Amino acid sequence: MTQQIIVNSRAIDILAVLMLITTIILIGTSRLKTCIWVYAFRSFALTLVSGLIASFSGIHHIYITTAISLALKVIVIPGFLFHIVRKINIKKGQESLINYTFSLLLACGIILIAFYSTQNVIQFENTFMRHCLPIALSITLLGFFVMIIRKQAIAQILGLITMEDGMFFAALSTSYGMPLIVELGLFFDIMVSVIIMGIYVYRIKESFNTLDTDFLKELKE
Amino acid sequence: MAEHLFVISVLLYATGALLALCFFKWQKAGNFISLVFAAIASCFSITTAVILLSNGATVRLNFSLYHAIIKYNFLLDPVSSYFILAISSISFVAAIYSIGYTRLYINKRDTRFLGFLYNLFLVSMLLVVTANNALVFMIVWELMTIVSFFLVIYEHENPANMKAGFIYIIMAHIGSALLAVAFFIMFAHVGTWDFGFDDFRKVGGRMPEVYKNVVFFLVIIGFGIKAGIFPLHLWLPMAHPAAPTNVSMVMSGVMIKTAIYGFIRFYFEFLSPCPPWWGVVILIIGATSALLGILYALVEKDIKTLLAYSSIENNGLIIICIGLSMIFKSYNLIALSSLAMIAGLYHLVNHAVFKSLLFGCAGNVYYATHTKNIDDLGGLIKRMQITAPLFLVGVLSISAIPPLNGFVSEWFVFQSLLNGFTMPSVIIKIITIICGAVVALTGALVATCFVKAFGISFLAMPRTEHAKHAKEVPVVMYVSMGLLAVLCVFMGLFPAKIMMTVNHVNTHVLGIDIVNSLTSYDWLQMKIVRTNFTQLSPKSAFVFGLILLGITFGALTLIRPGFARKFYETWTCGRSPEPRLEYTATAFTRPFKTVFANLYRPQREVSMVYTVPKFFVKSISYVSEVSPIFEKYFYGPVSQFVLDISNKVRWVHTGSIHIYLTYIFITLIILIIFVGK
Amino acid sequence: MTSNIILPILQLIVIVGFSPLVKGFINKIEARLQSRRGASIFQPYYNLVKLLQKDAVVSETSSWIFRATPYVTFVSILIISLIVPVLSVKVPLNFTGDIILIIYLFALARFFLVLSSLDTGSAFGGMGGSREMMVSSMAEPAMILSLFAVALTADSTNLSNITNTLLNDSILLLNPSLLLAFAALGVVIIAEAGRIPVDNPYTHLELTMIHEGMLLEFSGRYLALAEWASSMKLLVLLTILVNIFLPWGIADGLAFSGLIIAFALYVVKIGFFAFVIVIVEMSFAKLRLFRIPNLLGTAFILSILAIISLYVVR
Repeated sequence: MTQQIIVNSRAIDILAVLMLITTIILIGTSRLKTCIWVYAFRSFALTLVSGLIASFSGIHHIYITTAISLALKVIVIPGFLFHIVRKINIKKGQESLINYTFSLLLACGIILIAFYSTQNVIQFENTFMRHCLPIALSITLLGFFVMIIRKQAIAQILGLITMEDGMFFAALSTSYGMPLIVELGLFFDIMVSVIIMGIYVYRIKESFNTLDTDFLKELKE
Repeated sequence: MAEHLFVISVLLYATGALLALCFFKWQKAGNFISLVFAAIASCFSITTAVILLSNGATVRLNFSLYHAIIKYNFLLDPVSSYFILAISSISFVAAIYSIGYTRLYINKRDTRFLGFLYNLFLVSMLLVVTANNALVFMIVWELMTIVSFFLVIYEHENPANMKAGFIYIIMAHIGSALLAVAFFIMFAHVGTWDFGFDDFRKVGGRMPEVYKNVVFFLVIIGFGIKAGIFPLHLWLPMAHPAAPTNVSMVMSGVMIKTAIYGFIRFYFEFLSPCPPWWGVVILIIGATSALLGILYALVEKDIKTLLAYSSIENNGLIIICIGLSMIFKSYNLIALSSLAMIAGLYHLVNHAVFKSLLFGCAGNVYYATHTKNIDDLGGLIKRMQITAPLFLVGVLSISAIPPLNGFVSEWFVFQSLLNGFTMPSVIIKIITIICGAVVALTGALVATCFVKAFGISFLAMPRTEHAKHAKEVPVVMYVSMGLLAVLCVFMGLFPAKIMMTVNHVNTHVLGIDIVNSLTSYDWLQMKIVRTNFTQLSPKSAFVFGLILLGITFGALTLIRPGFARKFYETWTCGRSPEPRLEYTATAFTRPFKTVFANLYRPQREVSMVYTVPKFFVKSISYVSEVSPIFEKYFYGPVSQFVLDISNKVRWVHTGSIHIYLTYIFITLIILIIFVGK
Repeated sequence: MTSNIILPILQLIVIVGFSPLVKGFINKIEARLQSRRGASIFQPYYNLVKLLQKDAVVSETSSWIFRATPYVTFVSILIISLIVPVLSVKVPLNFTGDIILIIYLFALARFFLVLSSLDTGSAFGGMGGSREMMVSSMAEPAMILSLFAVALTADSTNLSNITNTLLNDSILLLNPSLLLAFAALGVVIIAEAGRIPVDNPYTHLELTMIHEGMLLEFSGRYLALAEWASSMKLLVLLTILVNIFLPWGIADGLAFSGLIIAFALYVVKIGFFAFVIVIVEMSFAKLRLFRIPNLLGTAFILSILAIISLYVVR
């Protein structure tokens, strides 16, 4: 039995690290389509984690959230984003405000901070998933970081949903997920916000003929 | 026995120095005599150190001359003996080398004076590492500084050398002043009047926390200036190349190590126990110096400046080890602490050997070609057939290539950084691992830097007339360097033997003997903590390499018995090869300038001159420079600030004698009032 | 006593004998995936045999460094192949060294290769050498850190001990930090072996030439040794990767049956990774030279994360 716990816990660890890697790829890569694929992959890893937790803990509502997140995050949102990308026809890679190596180093620093600051908390956690909290926190912070450094509006959507992934993962790892109704609300929220932002992106492109959010400064006048 | 030898050696140095001055007319003879005396004296001090280290003994020497206030106390414990061994071995080789090298100056300059200063310089270093009294220490420390200052400005007609000398003397004195303050703070807690180090050992650790921290920082800066840590390194890459090569060899090889000696004395003896963060500060300083030192060495074209920057890097590595050792010690992991200490001490003596070797060979190149610019050299391997392999040995050692000595200490450094994992604090663990990455990057950059230094200056075709007419140097110059090269190979192949020596020092400082967990048979092993067990035997790698080489060669001869080589010119797309087509040092490091553009801020200037109808380019000149950001953003504001202050103070100096007298009068009045109160 | 002789010979046969085959295999698969027929899988052997039977033409400007280089490179990689566990956990020269020695023996080979490239005095060689040093300087920290992550997991820097520990305690292998180290090491191996996103092994004429640019002036026996050394380097690196991260099936003694099984699995594993290399080469274009630090920087960050997550998992 204990052997099985360890294996399960290690499997979750590995999935968590995969999610972290995908988040770093999100910072590292400049191609929008790759970013969306990466997002889909990370969401898939996240659903695997929640599926594992569901089967392990036997809490039924986690199955439901798993199913919804599979449908929503792995299929619907990436599909919608691909649709937008195709529609507004972006050829150019996206630009960052800071250069590649430096942003990676900063990302590394952020991860370090996340690991360091959760040191004291995770001592009291259950041993089963205690390594996940720092990673969840890192993913959330990195999502934020992506929103800061990227110029294009779509990347900001990606950053936002990355943050949401991190939150979801944190909730899973600390308390086996939130109550079902809250989760449903969150899913709904994230879907609506993605759609709204998608429409905005489309509008921005229409009126400014660019996706560079720096141009939004012009709205000030 | 040993103490007598030591005294004899000091006296011999002094006699050599004075004799040099006695030969009024025969400068050559004066110089020669002084150097011979230096060589003999260093033999005596080597013997002293060997005797003392072989039994780990401690000897005290006390002289009381008629100045009652200064007690001339000297202490020859294993730490001192180890440094004596390093210093006097290098001194011995350097003295022999100088006999050849100073021919450059015969009939051009006062070589007697050079011999005088040289002997004083060597003896002052010996006294620095043996002084057991703060006042004596400060006196010999100053002597060392001043004598080396005169040596730096030996070729004083060159304004660049004068500038280097002045920057050196100013910075060195700031350092000395801070050290003096540190000593006074400690003295204030002692309560006796003899400034002995023994009192500091007793009292230092019990000083109030605030004073300890102040002393800690004073000592970092005070010795750090001598060690050339970033950003206090400014003088080092200027002064070392400015001095004659036989001097810069000693300066780079051993003089900057006296700072490490200071660190060991202060942090392991006087101020012990230290809090962990001290070690972390030292560790970070070391890592920064190592990385930045080698990054600047990489883009350097002047071979001596390159070597000077690389000394900063190597000192950084040693400081990393010292810092690590301090952290381990403050967590009471004494075995690991001594592992790191051994790594540092091993690297210290390694660096002394190969850096002197490299400087000596650079001196040979300068002697033969009269240029220090790598881009003007080339093809020397065919013209200087003995110097070239010697330089190659030095280059391989410094790049930590097995089976030479640099590799062994690199291995120890990595092992001790890896054991940083056992420390309780997470943040320190992470810092040590990042330091590991820095050391790895540094190692790779060192290899690049010295591939460049050797490849561009010794290989392919000569780029200028200087290099074309180079001839091999006098025998003493390459024989002495040959000794060092042999030492490099020996210390690489038989590290267990050196370990025995280093272990005495370590046992003395940290009170633990770990030699049995580090050596077995005649190779090294790692059996200290947990199960991290591994072994290293450079000798076996070397022997098996030779066997495999033999097999390979035999097999190839079997396949093609009459293998022949035809010589033909290099393919250069149909042109006949000429030196202008060769890659230069600037070109070689160009990718690095692009990658590390944030640090280097490279400035390029390409100007073309066209023929009259603007179709063909007549000539292109290309200037590529690295902006010295430390000078610009650190020293610039500081010196500007000082200038501003002095400008403000200037109105005090009116030049009128009456005003000055008034100042004195006012001071007097104030003093009287103060006393009267 | 016999085991002392059999094992080194076995390892040398595997590494020296099969390394050209790996290259041939990669070339063949790649040709097939590009719907070419491609040269025979044994083509590298034919090349080597041909080259070994020829005399050499040596540049006039070069010195003994140039002539010594092929031997130094070849022999240093031969030594490495005796320190790395290949078919058995036991290693012939176990007491000789550990991963640090391996890394620095690679450095020895590289050092001489770059010197020889400068020795000929041609700009091609210099360019290749300069770029090789740049790539390796960027790769080395990532390589050392990722191997350190492994060493810290297995509590030893000795490869034989590492493989042994990981083989006997397979829970250790299910470890996120090993996953990260694996990813980092994979990238580093591609860079060190000069494969496509970093260097193009098929030509020296592309403007980003690195390794082949340095070999330009070698001919005859020298070229054969240098080429052979480079394919051995690829195989040794893959062997390290395979035996650290997928040690299953490796023999833990010198029993004949165990070695046979180990060999069969070894072939499968190496074949799989060779195939992965082909896929990578097919699906990526060569990077611009100054993008390479970005790739290796990513590997570096991954290896740092490997070590950090190690602290947390413990």
